[in-house]
This record gives sequence, C-alpha cells and structure tokens, in this order.
Amino acid sequence: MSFVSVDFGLLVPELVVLSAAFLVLVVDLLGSRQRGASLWWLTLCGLGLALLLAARGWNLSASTLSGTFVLDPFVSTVKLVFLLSAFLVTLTTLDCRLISRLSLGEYYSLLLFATFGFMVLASAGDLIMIFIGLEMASIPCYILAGYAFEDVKSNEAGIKYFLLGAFSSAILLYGMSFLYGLCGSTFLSEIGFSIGQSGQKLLVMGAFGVFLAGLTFKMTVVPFHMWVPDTYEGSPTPVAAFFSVVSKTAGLVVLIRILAYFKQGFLALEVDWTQVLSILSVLTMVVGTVIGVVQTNVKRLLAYSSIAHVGYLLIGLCAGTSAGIDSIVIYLFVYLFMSIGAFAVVTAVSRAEGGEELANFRGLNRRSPLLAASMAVFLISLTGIPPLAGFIGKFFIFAVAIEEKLYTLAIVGVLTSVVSLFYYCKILKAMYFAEAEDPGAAPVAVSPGMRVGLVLMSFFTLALGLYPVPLVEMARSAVRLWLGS
Amino acid sequence: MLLDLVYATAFALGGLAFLLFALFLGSLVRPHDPSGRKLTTYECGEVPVGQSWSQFNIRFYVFALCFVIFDIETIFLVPWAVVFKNIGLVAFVEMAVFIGVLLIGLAYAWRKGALRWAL
Repeated sequence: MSFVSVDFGLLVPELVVLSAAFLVLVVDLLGSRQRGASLWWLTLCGLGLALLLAARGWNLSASTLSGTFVLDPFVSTVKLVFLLSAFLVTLTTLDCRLISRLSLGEYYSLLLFATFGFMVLASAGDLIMIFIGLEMASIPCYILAGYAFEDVKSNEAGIKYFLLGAFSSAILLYGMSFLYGLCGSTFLSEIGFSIGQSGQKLLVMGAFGVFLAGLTFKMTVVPFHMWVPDTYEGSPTPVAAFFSVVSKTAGLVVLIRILAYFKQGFLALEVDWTQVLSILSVLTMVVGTVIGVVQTNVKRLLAYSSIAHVGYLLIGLCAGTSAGIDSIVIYLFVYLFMSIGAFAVVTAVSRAEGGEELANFRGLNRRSPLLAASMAVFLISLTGIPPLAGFIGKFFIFAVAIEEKLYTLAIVGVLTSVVSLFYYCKILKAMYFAEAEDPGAAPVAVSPGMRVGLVLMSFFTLALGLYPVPLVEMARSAVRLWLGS
Repeated sequence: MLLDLVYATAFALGGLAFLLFALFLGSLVRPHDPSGRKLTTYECGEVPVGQSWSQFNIRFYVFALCFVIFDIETIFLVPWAVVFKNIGLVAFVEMAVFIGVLLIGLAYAWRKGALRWAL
C-alpha cells in the first residue's frame, strides 16, 4: 500500500506562515488587554521568519505532494515578493482608521492565510492545486476587503470583490474542466505535453482562452478590471496595498508558469498567444492611465495606476523570452516598494483627515515634510523618472520590448507613462504648492511601525534605482535556473 | 466527426421523444380531477405562512457551518481509521494536526460567542 509522501522541508516557509496565522488566532483568544501589540509582533516575526527561510532555500528545484507542489528559484523569488509585501503591509496597518483595534486578531490571521494561499498558488504544479491555492487566497481577501464592518464603502468593496471573484473563479474552473477533458490529466506538465498531441487547435484555444479570462480577472487586466476601482477605494487602505501587489503578482506568476509548461504544446499546434496578450497589455495601459487622469480620490487614482502597471508587466510576458521574465521579476520587486509605500502614505493622511480625496493632501509638505517627501519619492518612482527604482523597472521592460521588436507596446508604454506623470503630479502639486484648508493643522501623526515602513520603502525605492545590480542579477539567475532545469 | 454529430442529434431527439411519449401515455391512463388544493405550495396540505423572503436569524447559518465542519471531519476520519494500521505514526500525527486545527476553530467560535443563541 502506498500513500503520498510529503517532503515537509520544501513546505517550510508556507508552514511557518500558516502556523503564525493559527498562533495569532490563539493568542487573540487568550484575550489580554495588551494583545494588539503582541499580535502585531507575532505577525511580523512569522512573516520575517518565513522570509528568511524562503530566501535560504531560494535555489532549490524540487517537487513534492506527488508533483502538485513545485519549488524552483523563480517561484521562490515570487514568494519573497508576497512575504515582503505582507510584511510591509503589516508594518503600516496600525495607522488605518477603518480597522478596529478590537478585531485585529482576525485581520492579521486573514492576512497570513491569504499570503499562505498565494504562496501555494505560485507553487502549484497541477490544476487542482491552482484552484485550491486561489480559493485559499481569495476567500480571506474578500473578507479583508469588507473588513471595516461599519463603513458602507468597505461593505460595498467586499461584496463586489466577492461576487466578481466568485464569478471569475467559476470561469477559471470552466476553462480547467475543458483542459482536463482534452488531456485527461490535471498536471500542468502532462497537459502541456498532450495538448500538442491532441491536434484539437480550436478546442485548445477555447479552453485556454476561458482559463485566461478567469486569470486576467484576478490580474485586473483591462476588459476584466471594472471591480478594481470600487474595491480598492472601499477596502481599508493597507488591504488595498496588499491587493495591488500580491493578488496581481499571483495571477501573473500562474500565467507565466502555465505558458512555460504549455509552450511546446502551443508550438506544436501553432497557437500563439502573443497577439492576444499584446492587445490586453495595450488596453490595460491605456485604460488604466486615461481613466486615472480624471480621478479626484487618491486611492481610486492609485487603483487605476495599479491597473496601468499590470499593462507594463504584461509587455514582459508578450516578449516570451527569459529576458522578458527577468524584467517582470525586476519590475515586481520595484513595484512592491513604491506601490505599498504610496498606499501607506494614503493610510496615514486618511487617518488624520478622515478621507483620501486630493483636497486632503493639500499643504501636506507644510504639515509633515517627511510624509510628503516619501510620497513624492513613491509617485516619481511610479512614473518612472530616472534616479528612482521605477525607472529601472520600466527600463528593463521597454528594453525587452524593443529587443523583441514589439515597438507598438514600447511606444504605448512610454506614452502612457508620460500621461501618468500628469496624475501623479496632481498629488505632488496638492502636497507642495496648494495651501492647506486649515493652515494651523497639526502634523500627521504616524505610528512607529509606519515610520519604519516608510523609511524602508523609500530607502529601497532610492537604492534599487541607484544600484539595481543585485536585484537584476538575482532575477536573471532565478529565471535562468528555472528555465534551465 | 459528422457521424458523431448525427449520433448526438439522434440521441437528443430520441430522449425528447421518449419524454413526450411517456407524458402522453400517462395522460391517457391517469384520472383528471383538478382542484384548488393541488396548486398550493405544499401538496401535503400545509398552508404556508407569510412570504418566503422573510428574515431569519443569521445564527442558524453559523450553527450549520460548525455542524458541517465536524460532519466533514467524520468523513475523513472513517477512511483514515481503515488505513491507519498500514500507515502508522505519520497518519496519527497528520490526523492529530487536522483535528487540532478544527479544535482551534471550535475554540475560536466558542470564545467569540458564535455558539450563543442570544445576542
């Protein structure tokens, strides 16, 4: 009699995150008065430990759970993105006005459960694991989006995210069922092999097309982006920051890995997804940027900007080369710091002002010069102006596009970056050149965690821009090790 | 390919024809006796009270959820018990972890007052 043997050594970072989630719940139940702070420390320690362990096993290539859980340097690198994002989001959480102090236990554990789900999703080696990982991540995310129980907008965000998320999961599952029907296997490697053998070009295209639609919902690619602005605007700000990086990254990574597995099969069938992905990329960049221009709510503006950034990321995927994937990994790391950073400043301002309209940012430089300066760093970096990290990210993406002769994509990318400068400048202008409504307003109070988080994120946004070599090297060797194996 | 299509169509038509034929045959032999009572919601004669869009206590849902979780646990426990001897200690530890997680869930629900009926 045989049973599935599990190599727990490969699952250590996931297990640490999961144990931290349970520990947070249990400590919350013990119910001492000071538990808010201890929960915060527990979450940070759990994520930090998982981060160290994931970084240590970074160059492992192995699989376990009968091949449903795959570990390779690329996946491990992406897990670092998830863990870092969750860590930074936790650091900046306490400043959120919408999250009640009384229910922090659930908040942290849901955040950890979601991180765990995304980690499993990134490592999935078969369709069932993809679906399980996705649901393990999505269900905590739905709750987190509606976490401010008393806030109408947050409830709206939660219910919208839930309905559209469930809808897209169903679409994804429908595509999966077709793939399984065509190939008789749920393993990605076997499907990749047998779609080439099947010779059913139209069916394969339909099945994968449906699958892609479900996945692009999660990635907030344009025809499927309509839930994003409302969800981000209503969710508590740290949660929106988490979504803006982690859920998009997860969808993108699944897509990258599946395209790598199915490459031979698609080649045999002469199916090419580059055209479709290019169109999606252009649409995403243009819609994200153009609609962003007219926004007056900063959170909504950042939501549209995050949509546009998915468009840039898709360019790397359209290139279809390992250099393209390098550029995506570089961009993800860079994007993580600037996006979570910008949302963190919004969190702080929103607590002091009770809202996150552009008007709330007026005269921020007078009140809290450091807060305004770090916001300026994040926004300029998001635009992609040279000394900062955002430039490095965009540089590699556009360089790959030009190398692969995807001139249209490169041109649209550069043009939309220029347009995006306009809306980022609106915030800069409000912070630096507009008079505050109340000139005597006190400086915006920030918690120590928020201060550390902002310093860390501005530091990395600057440092990765000035000296990107280690990041580029890491991305290159991760992708090379993965595709070489 | 075309033949497959013909088969599928024939099968669908055959199924439809069988259904209609059975209904037709039934209408020949069954008694015909329409009455108002037959149109009520429950044929047992119970008269429904109020609208079906009524509010009911959300706690039913929580209790049902707790019940289903432990129901599922039993479903896992039975096959586990069957193969327990073959797998040995690993199986014991894994099931202990599983039940431990469920117990944390129960403790959580209990402590947070989810099992209390009164609000």
